[in-house]
Amino acid sequence: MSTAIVTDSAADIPADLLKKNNITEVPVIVNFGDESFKENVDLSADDFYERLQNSKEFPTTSQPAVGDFIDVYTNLAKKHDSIISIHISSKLSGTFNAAEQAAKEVGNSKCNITVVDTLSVSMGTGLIALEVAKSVKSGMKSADAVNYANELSEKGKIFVAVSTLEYLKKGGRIKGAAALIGGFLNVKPILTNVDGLVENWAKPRTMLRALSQIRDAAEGYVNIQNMAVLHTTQGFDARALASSLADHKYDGEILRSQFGPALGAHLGPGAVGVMFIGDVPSDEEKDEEEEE
Amino acid sequence: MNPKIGLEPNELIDLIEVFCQTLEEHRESINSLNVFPVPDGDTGTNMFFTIKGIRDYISEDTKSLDLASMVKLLSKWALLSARGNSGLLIAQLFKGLAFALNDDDLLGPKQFVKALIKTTEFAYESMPNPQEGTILTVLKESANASDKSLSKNPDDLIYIWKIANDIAKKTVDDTPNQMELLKKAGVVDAGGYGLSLMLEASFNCLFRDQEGNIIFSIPSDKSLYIPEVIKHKPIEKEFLQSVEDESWGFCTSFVIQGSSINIDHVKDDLNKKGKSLVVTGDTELLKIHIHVENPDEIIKYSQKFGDISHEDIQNMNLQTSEFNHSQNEEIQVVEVALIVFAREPILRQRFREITPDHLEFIEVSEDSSPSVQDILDSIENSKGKNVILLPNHKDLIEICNQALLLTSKNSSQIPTKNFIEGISSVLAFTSGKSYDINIKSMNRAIEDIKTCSVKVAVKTLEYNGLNIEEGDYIGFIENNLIAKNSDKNEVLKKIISNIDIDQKLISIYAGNNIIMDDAFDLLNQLQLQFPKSEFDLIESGQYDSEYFIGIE
Repeated sequence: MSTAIVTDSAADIPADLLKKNNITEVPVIVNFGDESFKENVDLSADDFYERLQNSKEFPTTSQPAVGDFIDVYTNLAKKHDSIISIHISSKLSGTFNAAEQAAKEVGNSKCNITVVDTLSVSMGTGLIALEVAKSVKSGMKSADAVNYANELSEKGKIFVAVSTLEYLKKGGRIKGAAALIGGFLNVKPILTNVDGLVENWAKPRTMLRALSQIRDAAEGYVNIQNMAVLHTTQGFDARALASSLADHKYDGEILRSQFGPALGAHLGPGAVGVMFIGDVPSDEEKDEEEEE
Repeated sequence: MNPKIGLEPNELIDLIEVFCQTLEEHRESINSLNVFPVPDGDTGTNMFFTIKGIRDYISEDTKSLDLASMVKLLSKWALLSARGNSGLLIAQLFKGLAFALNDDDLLGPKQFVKALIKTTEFAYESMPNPQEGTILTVLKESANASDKSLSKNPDDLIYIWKIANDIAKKTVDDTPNQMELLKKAGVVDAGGYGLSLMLEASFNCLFRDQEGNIIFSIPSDKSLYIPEVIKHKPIEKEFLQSVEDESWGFCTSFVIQGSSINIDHVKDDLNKKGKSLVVTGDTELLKIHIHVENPDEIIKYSQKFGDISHEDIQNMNLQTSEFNHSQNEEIQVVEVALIVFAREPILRQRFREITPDHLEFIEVSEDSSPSVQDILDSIENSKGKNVILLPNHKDLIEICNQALLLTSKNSSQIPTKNFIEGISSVLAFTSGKSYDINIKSMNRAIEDIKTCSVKVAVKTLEYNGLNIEEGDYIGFIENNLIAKNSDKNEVLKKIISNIDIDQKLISIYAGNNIIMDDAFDLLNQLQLQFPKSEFDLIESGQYDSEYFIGIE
């Protein structure tokens, strides 16, 4: 009698943490032109960024096939009586839908499968999966864990600073950022998740200022449960951000990871971001959030 | 007793013509006073265009109105035509007149004095920080003096008007004693001088012939009072004169640089290509001003005389925003439009790079600022359901306020005093967010920006112990002149070493005369010297400074 946790590779959870928390990852498919790769299976993050910067083709990512989920669920259903499958925003990818279809196929009275839409991406999703996995491990019942996952999904926040505008433009998917030109002004847009989408949040000039703005944004939140700092290619900016966050307010462990292709293709080299689960503090900020 | 102890409505209209011609005649001399130590140089032009705007509204119908209705209309037109702060003060004059002539049918001594008193009140109220030693003081002193003389000669308009005029001139001469800045620059106040000219010129037109008709004499350039300081005029008079011409295609100006250019040949040649040609300069550097249908063609054509630079092309019809006349396509409505005041094409490009879909521009030209009507039209014609104005100049903030009062469209302004604040403010704009939230964050974005600049001195003067020669580079921290040198980069370094830039971002905006390669060398030097600060260099092409520096 136990609960299994499943996620997808776009949640960007490092391999050691997946293993430690018994989380099963379904790989996202990365396509460069005619070539397809399974993320983290036959394409590492470093290989991906190498190709991203040198390939003429702009990569696309596609959700795992329903069959991939069916395989994973079927295997897990042999040993577990419940599966919680925690995924990136249904507004950004078809992963959630693929998982739901598979859940209908595989789920039955012996194994209950629930698919959770985190309305986030990358470690914004990953942190939720990790938190739920830990709770299950320490004895939380499956139904409560599903509620918990949904509750956390409302509190997941990401802020990412982008170093070059080139990939946002090529990708063309990030609201409010695709039209930016800003080269001369050295604009480093900060993206955030709003209602399940990723959009432009601010347009600071220079990376240093972008990083301090991200730190200030994170510090604006209270009851932060979990935090992760990620980068695409340059780890030193991420280290600087992590240590500045630790110096200032957050005294929990800050996880470190790397953006995978799903978001990384749009961010391009040099991007750095923070993800956390936390509460919006003041009434004023809340008003702004609601008006958004 | 002479039944005509005041001016009749149609005579008031004639006075507006007198004002208009007087200001036209004297606009460069007024402009030339506006030179501390770098010329803003537009007071006379603004005053002239404001009065001309009123004059252009006047029709035969206006002349047949009763006095009270007429001055109400004049007051409205004055506001719509007002350009710059001095134009707004002229608008107060007509507002004061409208107030004083509530139900009188003549402009008599009593009404004249009342008008001056009300104008003074309105004028002081209209300025956020009333400063003595300006047109305000001139108004106040004239109003007080004529008020005192009214009890002695209650029926003598000519006498009262003369008192106002005499005191105005005296006060203008005294303005350097009231404002340190004027004294150091060796000038009197430009706006105050403009007002005294209006009073003097109109005073000369109060006399009547035997039939009781007013004898109009439009004073010539020389006949009116001219303060000592402007008898030798410093700037290109010929060039400034030409701009008031009626709109006709594009007002195009540019510089030709070459060697032994035949000026007469250029003149003859270009004269056939357009109207209002003005050519000033010498055989190596010529400034051309011409009105043509196709500006690109004339610029291309002129390349045969030398290298072309400093192109400035203004659509004479300022009401149409850049956006509107650039496309015939269906106008796409946006939730919030930003109307940005910017003169230089490169600078407009920098703004476009931040948020291309929401920008509209008001092109501020070299020698006249947009009128209330221009701004109002831009707001009304904007593709934005809501409109946010960014004046980018301290002198345009008040005029934007006036335009905002007149529009029914949901609109407001971020009071950006310069383009650096403008850029920061536009960077804080987020297209998906509401109008109110954007206004809040755009205002917040300009709270902590300090600006410095390196400019060219156009006047020789002594200031703060610095002996500044014309052509020197001078450095300002905010508005304080703190450095001068014959090398602009040295001035910039001096500025940087005089302010606390620790942990700050220093954005150096390179003006039109800067060679970018040199500027990048300078940037690298500064970055090495001040590793705790972050330096950035942006080509912005502004005409009025070499470097404009934002510290945030």
